[in-house]
Amino acid sequence: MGNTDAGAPVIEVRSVWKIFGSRADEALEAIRRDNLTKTDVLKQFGCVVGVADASFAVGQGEIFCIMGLSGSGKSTLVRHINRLIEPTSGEIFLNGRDVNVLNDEELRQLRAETIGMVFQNMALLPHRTVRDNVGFALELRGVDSYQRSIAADETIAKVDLTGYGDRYPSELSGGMQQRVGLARALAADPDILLMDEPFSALDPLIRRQLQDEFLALSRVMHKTTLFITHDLDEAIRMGSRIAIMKDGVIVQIGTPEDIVTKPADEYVSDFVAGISRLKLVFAHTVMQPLEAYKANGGNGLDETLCPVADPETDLNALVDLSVDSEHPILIKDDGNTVGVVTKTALLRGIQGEP
Amino acid sequence: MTDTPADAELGLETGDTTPSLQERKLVSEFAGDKADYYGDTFVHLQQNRLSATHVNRSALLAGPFWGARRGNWTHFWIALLLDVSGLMLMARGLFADPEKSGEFNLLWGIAVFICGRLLTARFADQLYYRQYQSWRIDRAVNAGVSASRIQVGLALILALGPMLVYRATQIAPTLRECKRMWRAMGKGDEVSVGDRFNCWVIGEVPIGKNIQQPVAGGINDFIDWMTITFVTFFDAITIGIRGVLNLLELIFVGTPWPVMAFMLVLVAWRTAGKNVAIFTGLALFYLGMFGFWQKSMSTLSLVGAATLICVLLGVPIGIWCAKSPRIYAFIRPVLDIMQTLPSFVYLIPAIAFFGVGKPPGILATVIFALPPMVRLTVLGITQVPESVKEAALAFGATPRQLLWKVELPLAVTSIMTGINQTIMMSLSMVVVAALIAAKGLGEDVLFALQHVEHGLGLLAGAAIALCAMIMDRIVQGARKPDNS
Repeated sequence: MGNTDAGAPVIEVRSVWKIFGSRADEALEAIRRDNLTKTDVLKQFGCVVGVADASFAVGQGEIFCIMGLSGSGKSTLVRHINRLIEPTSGEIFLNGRDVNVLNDEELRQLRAETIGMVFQNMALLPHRTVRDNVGFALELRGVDSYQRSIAADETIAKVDLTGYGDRYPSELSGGMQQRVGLARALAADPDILLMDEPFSALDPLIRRQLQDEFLALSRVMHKTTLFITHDLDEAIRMGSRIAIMKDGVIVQIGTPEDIVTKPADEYVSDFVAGISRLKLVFAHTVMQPLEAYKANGGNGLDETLCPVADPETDLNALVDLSVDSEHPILIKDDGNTVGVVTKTALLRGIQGEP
Repeated sequence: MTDTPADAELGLETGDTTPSLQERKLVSEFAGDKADYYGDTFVHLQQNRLSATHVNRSALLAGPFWGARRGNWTHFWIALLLDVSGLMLMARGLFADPEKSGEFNLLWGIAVFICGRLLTARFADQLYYRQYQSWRIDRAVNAGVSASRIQVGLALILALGPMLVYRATQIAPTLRECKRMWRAMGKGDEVSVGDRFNCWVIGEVPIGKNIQQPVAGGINDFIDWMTITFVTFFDAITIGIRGVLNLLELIFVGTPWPVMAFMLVLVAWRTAGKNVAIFTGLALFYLGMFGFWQKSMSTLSLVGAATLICVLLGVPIGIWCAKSPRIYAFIRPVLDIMQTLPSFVYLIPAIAFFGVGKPPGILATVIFALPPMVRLTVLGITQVPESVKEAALAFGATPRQLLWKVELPLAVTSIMTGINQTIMMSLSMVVVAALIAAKGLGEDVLFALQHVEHGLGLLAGAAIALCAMIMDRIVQGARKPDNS
């Protein structure tokens, strides 16, 4: 999906803290000084820690998922990006611009032109038609109604709602309403999309469908996306990288494969325990080097009979190869054999145990 | 019965339909004594098997003391009230004015006493069962029996009962009699202890009009001073109101009746449909036939003016209150007072500052009809979902855009309800405002009252009701735009 790591990050969050309560500053100082826990802060200062020392960066066109259970601070964190919530401490840069120093008018301009946001409960305006909802951000910027409706109709077509422009949100199904929500976020052609559990309120089939459509759309539009979810499956489907949050702290950031194969702690490993690894784990993770294989008594290897795969083949494809042959699979990179995947290693790899 | 795990298991494992031993034990822990009686009674209550004539005998005999002993203060106070009422009537029958309906009072008192005892004894177990249920949830609730609670109950009865019963035997002295007595005491005359006691405790609170008069006088002076000092201010308000009123009178009164009637029916038809249009036509026919046309139109213009001013004031105030909880905390008690004061009271400042006539009538109406406008505006705006407001902000809305494009459109239903209420309240107040010469239909009602003209009064009253219904239906219809 393009230049994920190249160039300057579009969104950069540097050690953001959010503490709710009237004595937030005192509490933060005490936390830094004495290493207080969340419960201590609540007891001593009556303050709730929403986000604790969160840092991450999102590259151009990347879909970055923030995954956590309810109350983990993920929704709070994403609202810092467009400053719907002010951080207690820390910095946020969008395209290298510090969001915290913007004045009201600059902030409104940023929200209207650079950021689109989609909400879990849609939050559409019930008294406006779909077209007027979609054109809302443009209307706020003073775009005249002719241009607005052209732009809105284009975006409505992108989310497959052509013909529904003159309907009211209440006439649409939940899935369609969220398409309107997405269209509203896309209408002003923002660089950044913030999606706060956009598909959580939908039933599984519709959710799946919208996920696929969003991925397809994203491949074309290439928006830098921050995607909040409480569903690890969804995070893995959508995200090029995933941050896992717990109690306001980002526990781990990594690609889906990293998270599944190298969970940072017990919390994450509990989470990924039930996840299918077939499409997440690749040959280079389960293979053993050729020398090690030979040293362990695998000398009678007839390389001509073995099926061959490259290191980026996922376990699902390796299973297909393995089923057709009695021999281990050779992993070749640019024609050089770099490793061997035996049936045992493959099965263990699917299981997630070494 | 011992408290062993085996007992508990027995209760659980048999799982039979009779209440488990545990529940029995709980009731006995709660009731203290007579555990068997209350255990059975509670079961009967649960099974709806308690007979209609069931009474709690201890409660029947002991009256309020039963409630005090068991910590059931609801029973205690009800029983105390009924007992003392019966005793007061008996005392009145025996000692005060025995020739005059003495026997009747005595018998009536005995009946109240006995019926009260029977009633409280009948429901004592129900009350006690409720107490038991609260106790199961929270063990801090009174339980068991307690001698100290009986002492508290006795102290309360002694503090209240004798005084009340004594009061029933005496004729209260008037303030004048007491003043005469105090004067006599000042001269050194002998006055009986009973008379002195009666004057201090039974009659009027012994302060008299010593405080009322100077305070009322002070207010009078203050109002006079205000009227003179701010004469331009009050005149400006009068001119403003008169301007609005003149415009509306031009429309309602100045239009020839056939045109007006046609317009009203048309409006009713377009906003509220065919049925309301027919109803409006018939109502207007009534108004015309019985000679109320001019006065009805005059009333409608008064109501229109008052409503217009209410909306112009109420909506902004409501928005302000919705945005600032602090302001609302200050305004809310003012609104409460405005709604609770009898409507006649508003005529007083209206007369004081503005004299008599239509503008002060409208002003009094505005004060009376403003609260629902403010309240429902606040309600409408605070009801706008937080998530929708957040979404608007996330797309870069300014506070003004948030108000005009999100909050007001979503609050409009509530605001329309407010307008409807304001119209209805205005109409009722405009009738009262006839007392200060605000003209209109109220005038006829007032005339009928003063001259004992029952027929005219009822016809005029019906005319007012019809005016109210026409306006209500049209406004209600306008609220639902899709039924035309």
